[in-house]
Amino acid sequence: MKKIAREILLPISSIFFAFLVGAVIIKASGRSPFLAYQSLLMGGFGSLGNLAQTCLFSIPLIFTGLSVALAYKCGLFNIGGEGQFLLGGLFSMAAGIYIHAPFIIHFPLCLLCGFAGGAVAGAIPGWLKARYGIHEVINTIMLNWICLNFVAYIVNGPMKSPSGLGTPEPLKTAIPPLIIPDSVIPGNQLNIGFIIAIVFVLLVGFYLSRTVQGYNLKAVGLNPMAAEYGGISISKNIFLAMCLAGGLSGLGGTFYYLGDLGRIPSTLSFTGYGFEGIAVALVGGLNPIGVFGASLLFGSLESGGIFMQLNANVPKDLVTIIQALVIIFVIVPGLVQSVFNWYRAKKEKEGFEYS
Amino acid sequence: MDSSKQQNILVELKNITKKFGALIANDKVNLSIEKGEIHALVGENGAGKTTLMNVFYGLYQPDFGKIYLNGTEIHMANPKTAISLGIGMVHQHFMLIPPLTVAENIVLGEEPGNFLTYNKSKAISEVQQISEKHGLNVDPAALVSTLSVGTEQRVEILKLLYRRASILIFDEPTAVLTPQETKDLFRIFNSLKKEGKTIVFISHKLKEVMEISDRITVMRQGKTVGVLVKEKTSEAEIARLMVGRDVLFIPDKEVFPKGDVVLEVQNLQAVNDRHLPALQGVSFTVKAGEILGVAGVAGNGQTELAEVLTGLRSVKNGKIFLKGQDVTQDSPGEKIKLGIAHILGIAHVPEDRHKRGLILDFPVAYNLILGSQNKLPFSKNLILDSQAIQNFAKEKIVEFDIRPGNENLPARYLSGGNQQKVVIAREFSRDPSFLVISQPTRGVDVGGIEFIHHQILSMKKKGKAILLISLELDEILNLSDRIAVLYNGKIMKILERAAATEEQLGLLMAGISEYSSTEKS
Ligand SMILES: Nc1ncnc2c1ncn2[C@@H]1O[C@H](COP(=O)(O)OP(=O)(O)O)[C@@H](O)[C@H]1O
Ligand SMILES: [Mg+2]
Repeated sequence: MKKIAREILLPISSIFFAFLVGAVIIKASGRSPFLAYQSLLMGGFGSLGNLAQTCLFSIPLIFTGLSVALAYKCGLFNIGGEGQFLLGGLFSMAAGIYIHAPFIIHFPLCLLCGFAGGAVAGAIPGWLKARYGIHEVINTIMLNWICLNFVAYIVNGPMKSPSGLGTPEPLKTAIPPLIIPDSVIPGNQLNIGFIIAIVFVLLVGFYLSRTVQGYNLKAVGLNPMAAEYGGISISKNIFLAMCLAGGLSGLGGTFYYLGDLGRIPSTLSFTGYGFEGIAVALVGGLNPIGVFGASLLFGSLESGGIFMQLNANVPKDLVTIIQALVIIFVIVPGLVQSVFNWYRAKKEKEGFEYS
Repeated sequence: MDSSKQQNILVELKNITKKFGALIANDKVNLSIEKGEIHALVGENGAGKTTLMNVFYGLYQPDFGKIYLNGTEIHMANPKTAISLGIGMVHQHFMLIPPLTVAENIVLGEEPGNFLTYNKSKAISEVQQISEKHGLNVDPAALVSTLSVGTEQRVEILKLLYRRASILIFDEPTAVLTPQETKDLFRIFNSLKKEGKTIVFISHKLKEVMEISDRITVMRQGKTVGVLVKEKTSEAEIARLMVGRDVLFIPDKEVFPKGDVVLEVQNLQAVNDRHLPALQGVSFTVKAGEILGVAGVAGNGQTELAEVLTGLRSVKNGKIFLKGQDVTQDSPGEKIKLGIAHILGIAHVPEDRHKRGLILDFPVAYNLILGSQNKLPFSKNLILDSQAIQNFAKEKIVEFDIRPGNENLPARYLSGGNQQKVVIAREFSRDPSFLVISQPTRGVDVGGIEFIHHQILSMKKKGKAILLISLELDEILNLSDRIAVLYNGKIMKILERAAATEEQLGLLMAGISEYSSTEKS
């Protein structure tokens, strides 16, 4: 119980400190931090429409965040989210354009293809690591570029639409349906991806904490030699973890391109979701529920940032600064923790001195 | 200062307190050392001996406390200060540079010659001189990488003497030595003492302490609990102070009728991690209800033997039979079948619990099922059964007296002895027919050792065949029915316990097979 409290307290206070420093920056630039934060909050959560927007922005982050967290549990640092995201997007888009089937078959098939696409991009560095011990950080980074150029080639070549904007739009049966009808919240685009993301948060959580596979995967991540002693194969689990991590990022790409964008654009670049997934995973304490919370936070900063720019005349770049501050406060080892420790040590010393 | 009433007090450590986070490694420790004495610092693992000496040597700064040398307070800023004051320390892990020669290692940092050229012959002759004076018997021109552990230790001593140390601290120097090498070391101690040097000797082997020291300071849980004069004390008294209660020393040595051969190993060969031959034709049998002890100096193939028998390392040549069934894993190039030991009903207490035996960040309950996580009752259809896991853990915590008794605590937060109990509890609960037990009590407190020894003997009583690999000769002698001495990947000889003497084992451990004895085993 105490442990859970501490696990929540630390990120929350990190976020608090980040906003505090952000306030100083806004003040220094001659604007009102109060007004800025008020509009940031309004933009993120102020109306049902804004809330829906926040949730929409969080979908890809949840998937890439889960991806990084899952790989990390197996002792792997998955920096390949960008590439997996793109390849997942490509596979699902291809399925969405070329396969003809009723929604009930077509849509799940697109998700499966998206997962598979990401898994392929994860499997390659996973295999290289498991088989030859080549470090996954290097491989995943390099593979990001390979994926980018590969997908760019396909989108501007074989899959190019006559309009020239990129790929054609997927068939209606492949597009993730809206959760809330347009008539209830006009203009909202929040699609079923959000619900599926929540399902995956629970699935990954269950997988890691309740299954033999999860036990094995974590054992390899924490102490490969002991895992081996317990009959757990190091290489199999590394490979599997990278495939699953890739698949999760691939699903992020699936919802982003099939849902938000409705095509893969011809001017392709990294979306940043793969990298933000690292931040989200770290801020979320590398556990699925935490990833969900951190994704909502980052999503709300994204949707609220536009609002803040309009209302408080604070550039949206400040959002990026706050994001960076949150990350710094969470991951710089013990920055916030040291404040606590200092406080505790001070109290302890006061109690100790008399002896 | 006033407290050095006695004239010849050389060193005084007063109220030394050193904390590591919440852990108090040294809690107002006092230590006073007389000039020219051999002072033993004893205590269980984790008592704070090394920490105290690191504070004295300037490696750690104490949170409180003062250090006096010859009655004056000293601020020991770093080891350089200590060295300049004539203090030298031989650490638990040697700090030599293997590709350099002995002489180069010794003069490092204080090379003779001017600052551009290094006078090699001068270095060699200086080192030779010191070596001869104390009978250290070290060749200054030899490469350190070619030396035995015992010789490396003597190089460390030479290094201190070269720097004119007058107070020499030895942190568990005998842990890596054969009985003969230990004798040599003590001879050197006495020679140094005769010359007026002061020696601090850290150990937890009471026999040695009684043999060599003049006075003894006992530490327990970060505190000084007694200062004793050798003539007026006994092993039992020191042990009682170390542990805080009476300790039963000799486990009951009942003899049981031995059963059938459970394990048979024929001409076993295997390589180590560097692909060098580690086992070069090892053969033996272990019967039901028998403990076969494997004695030897570290690095003579013990690790590889345990791993080969438990399917963690592949066999290059030779055969392993378990109850007559060939279980050799020797398919070349092919991956060995992990976990085969657990499938076959072999239990394995690995030599290094942190490396292989435990997943420190897993809770105790999870550690207790490692290797059985995919079996009933701990999981069904690949889903873990938390309730079954928790119940099993609670049961084992009581049965093996694991403290603190919290099955959800990560194993990291247990003491060494309790961590080892977790490993033992897990392995002994598999109902194995054969057990490979390596270094079962390394880094375990005296109370824990006693408990673990009893557990091992009770497994024997149940008719299990046990291979006990240990670097502690006493442990081997106390528990084994027969003793095999491993040297350089070969078994020098297998002796009946009753026929084995420490002397003889020591020689075998050094690779010397004796010709005088006519006993047959
Ligand atoms: N550098 C360190 N950081 C944290 N804890 C330490 C450190 N060094 C020692 N300790 C802890 O302090 C205690 C005393 O250790 P040590 O002095 O090495 O004992 P000993 O040498 O008597 O076996 C142990 O519990 C050990 O884990
Ligand atoms: Mg020590």
